[in-house]
Amino acid sequence: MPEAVAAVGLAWATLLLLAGGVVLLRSRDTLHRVLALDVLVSIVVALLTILSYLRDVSYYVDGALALGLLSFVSTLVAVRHVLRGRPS
Amino acid sequence: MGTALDVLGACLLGLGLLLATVGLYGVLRMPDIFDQLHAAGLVTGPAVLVILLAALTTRSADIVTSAALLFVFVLITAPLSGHAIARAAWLRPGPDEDGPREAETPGAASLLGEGMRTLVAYDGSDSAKRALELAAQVFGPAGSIAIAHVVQPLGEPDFAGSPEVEDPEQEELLSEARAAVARTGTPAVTLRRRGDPAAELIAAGAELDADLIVVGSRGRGAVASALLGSVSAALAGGAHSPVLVVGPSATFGHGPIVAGIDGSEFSLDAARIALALDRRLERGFRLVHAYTVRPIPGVSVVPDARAELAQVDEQKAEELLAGVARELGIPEEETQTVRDGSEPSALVVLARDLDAALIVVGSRGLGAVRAAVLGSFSTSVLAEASCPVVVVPPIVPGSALG
Repeated sequence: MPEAVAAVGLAWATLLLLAGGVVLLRSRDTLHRVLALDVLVSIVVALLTILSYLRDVSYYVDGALALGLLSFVSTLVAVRHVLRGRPS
Repeated sequence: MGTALDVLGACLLGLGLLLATVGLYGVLRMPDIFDQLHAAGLVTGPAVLVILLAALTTRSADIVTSAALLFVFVLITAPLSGHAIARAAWLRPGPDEDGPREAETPGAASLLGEGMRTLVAYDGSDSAKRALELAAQVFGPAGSIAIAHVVQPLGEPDFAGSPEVEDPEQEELLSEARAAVARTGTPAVTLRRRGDPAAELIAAGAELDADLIVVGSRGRGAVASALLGSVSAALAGGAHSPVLVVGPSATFGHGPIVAGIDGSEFSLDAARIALALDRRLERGFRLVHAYTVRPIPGVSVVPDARAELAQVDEQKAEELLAGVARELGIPEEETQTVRDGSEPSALVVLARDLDAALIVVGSRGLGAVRAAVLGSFSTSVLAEASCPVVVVPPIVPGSALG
């Protein structure tokens, strides 16, 4: 993949990350926050993948995998807390 | 072959980022969590997967292997976490209107009798006490008052203990508030709610069909309230009735009700609400158009042209005001234009000079962040005003309160 394409992709993903930050700031309650963080992690995963294309090394993708795993577990736990932490 | 691979890689990368952009835009614009989940699914699923597919074109075995692993992982976890969030949104006793709700207070609407229905948000803070006092004095004689207290179950350690037990602190605060209102001779009913304060207050206001929601404000600036969250700002954007915000230093003056207009539909509705409030309170009315002189670069070196432009601006402002006054049937002596460096401060200064009872402004219903970035007229007025401010949210029809 040409380096210029990956660089543009990286810049784009960074802008998306900022937009994701706005989503997080605008979130009104816990579930909105969980959703926003889920989206943010996805953007970071994409960002790391593109970074690995740009630098031509693989371990950024491994980092992204670890991050994705953490995010998945924490989403489940946070959602559980929303359901159990309140009277139902 | 090499070029074809490069083009394919670039296309996949572009497509993935485009999907992510569309999805994020959806999350920003969609109204409630279920719609947002749909858009978010585009980012967490397809967008990431397509970007990972582009790994095939990097010609590096290491990257392709790792990416393949991540691809499978995302393929499994993205739908699962999306489903978990949707399930929680559906099951929780929450502020979103689409999910099943907890049993409401039975017949809450019938609790409030004839006349003006005022809902006061109370949290025991000093500003809330001021708001309650003012509401009881001013609106108590015109109708009836409901006091709502919202417990925020998250944010404090609240492990699955005994959810049915009444919150002793809530009971204490509410009985204190009821006693304070009773001293002014107005009967008050109380509402106990749990959840996000702004959302619960909006829901309570809708249930009671409240004519006015009264909240105290800590008087944070626009940026602080965007970051820290401001109940009054959230209400001003989304409530179904006008919101009276009592700032930390606001006092109810002896002068008229001042309605600020800028010619937009929102401000017209706000002016109609102000007229309706005036009919209830009989304080006198003043329709005000605050405007600024457009700064035009280079013009300042020609003094004559500057004066002429100022005159044109003034004429325009007068015409706009006269048009609105005609439409609402307001006599000319109750209208006024005012000019200053910024429109909100012009309105605030005028209100101070008139010893205004209330300022009434419309709100475009921008979210807190956009209001902080773009500048919100109502937020600036709220921050500076020396009297209580009524903000009319965009969804309130001007015929309300009639």
